[in-house]
Amino acid sequence: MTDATRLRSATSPTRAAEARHATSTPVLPRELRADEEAARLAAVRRYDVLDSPPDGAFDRITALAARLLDVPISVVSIVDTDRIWFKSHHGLDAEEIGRDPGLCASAILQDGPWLVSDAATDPRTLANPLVAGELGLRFYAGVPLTTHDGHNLGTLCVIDTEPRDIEPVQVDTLRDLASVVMDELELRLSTRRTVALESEMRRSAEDVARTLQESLLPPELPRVPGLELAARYHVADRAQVGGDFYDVVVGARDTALVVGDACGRGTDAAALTGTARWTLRTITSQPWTPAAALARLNSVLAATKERPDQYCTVAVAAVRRREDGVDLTVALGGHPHPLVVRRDGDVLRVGTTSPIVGWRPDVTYREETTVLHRDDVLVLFTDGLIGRSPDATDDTSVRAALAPLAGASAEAVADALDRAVESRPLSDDAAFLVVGVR
Amino acid sequence: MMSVREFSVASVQVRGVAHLVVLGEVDLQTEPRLVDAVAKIAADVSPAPLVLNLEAVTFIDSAGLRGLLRAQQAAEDAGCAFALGRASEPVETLLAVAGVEEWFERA
Repeated sequence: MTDATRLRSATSPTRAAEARHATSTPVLPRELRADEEAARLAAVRRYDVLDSPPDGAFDRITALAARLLDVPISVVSIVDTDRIWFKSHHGLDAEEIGRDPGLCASAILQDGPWLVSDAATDPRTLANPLVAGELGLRFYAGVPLTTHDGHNLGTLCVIDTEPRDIEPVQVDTLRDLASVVMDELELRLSTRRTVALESEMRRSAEDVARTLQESLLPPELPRVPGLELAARYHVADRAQVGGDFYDVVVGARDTALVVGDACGRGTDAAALTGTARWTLRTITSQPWTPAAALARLNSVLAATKERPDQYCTVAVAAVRRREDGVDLTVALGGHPHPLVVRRDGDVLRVGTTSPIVGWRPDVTYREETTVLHRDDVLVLFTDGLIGRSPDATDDTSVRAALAPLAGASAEAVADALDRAVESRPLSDDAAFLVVGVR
Repeated sequence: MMSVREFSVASVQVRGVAHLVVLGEVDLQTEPRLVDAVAKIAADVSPAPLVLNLEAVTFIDSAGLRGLLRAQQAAEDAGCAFALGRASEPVETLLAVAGVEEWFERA
């Protein structure tokens, strides 16, 4: 009873008499208004308990309730739209019953315990099928399962087939057990929410990583006359931005091809990746050669890197058209050799090795020129393509994968390398740029 | 989920030279432990020279190379001459690809 009703009862003799009358001749509580029932059902849905699998915690509570109150039947019920579903049923072989008034369906319409000493004679319950039917229930005591925001989801109730009275101390026991049921339901709800929140956080980390990654790669490869381009990026951990990058910059005379790998993962690697890519874009917008570009990049990174323990490996290639194909000039800053698949099936390494980029300020970089002919295919890649196996410390497996692809289109070669990457667990990001000479 | 890497470092002093033997995988996960071990031993033995034996390294990647470079830096900061001893094929391959063979003294 709220303070307001108590106050009214005290000051209005007529209402107080009515109230006494109401307790002596029990009547069914008023039905919930449509909006109240909708809010209650929303709460039932929120706890997501309907039709959930059996749960030992609730079975222990109903067994305990039956034992403590010395009754054969105890039930944790959840009142759904048109049925009463049993989360746990002790001593009663039923999963659910209809939502007929008198028992659980009425118990949830008010806040205190719902007590029926003899259902067969009680006007509130005598028409209920469980009472009038062959089950012949006589005694019912139920306490509503009330959420912290005031909705009654269902009840914890005890039932007997004999009429009986219930002591106030037993009602207290039932009420205590009902609050244990409610604690269990809250616990399951908050666990589900935590799990959902974690997966949401993981998703949003993945979104950030993807956005950042996309900003580090060209949105679309440019069209270059005489060349056919394909690029791929395989991410080892979608929640972390990787350190691999590639770029294609079309210049007046030379087209720059870049593939690089910043040491490490996460935002530090991404920052270095971004700096490296944009620095190379700037350098290659002026007259440049691959070796000079790497030397410039090296001194920029060695001077500006925020953490002193970072470096990257970069392959820079200049492609210049000639009568019968292209001149390919490659400089490697600590990066695996790009591979060329000749039209006749030979696979060869191109470029010449110089040290990693950004660790020491004064480093000399060298370059090497190779002539590529029509239908030759060039593949620049990061070491993620090589993989992480004790017997694959160099590019042997990549060369073997490329050998049968002589004369194939850039897309077909990229697809074949995709399959090679996808055939094993990816421990590091893998990026590759495939260039066909047409 | 990252798996647990096999990695350990053992040290032994022979005729005034500290030898560190590295076993297992040197990558993003284990590289800090390599650098810590070298820094700690360098502080203990300085100015004795320090040799990193990499014969038993089964895998090394670019983060592992960073570990070698940082270890070199830590040893030299502590006043120790630093050299790489024998190294497994994965290590030699990485040093060659990274173009840093000449950056390390070899013992």
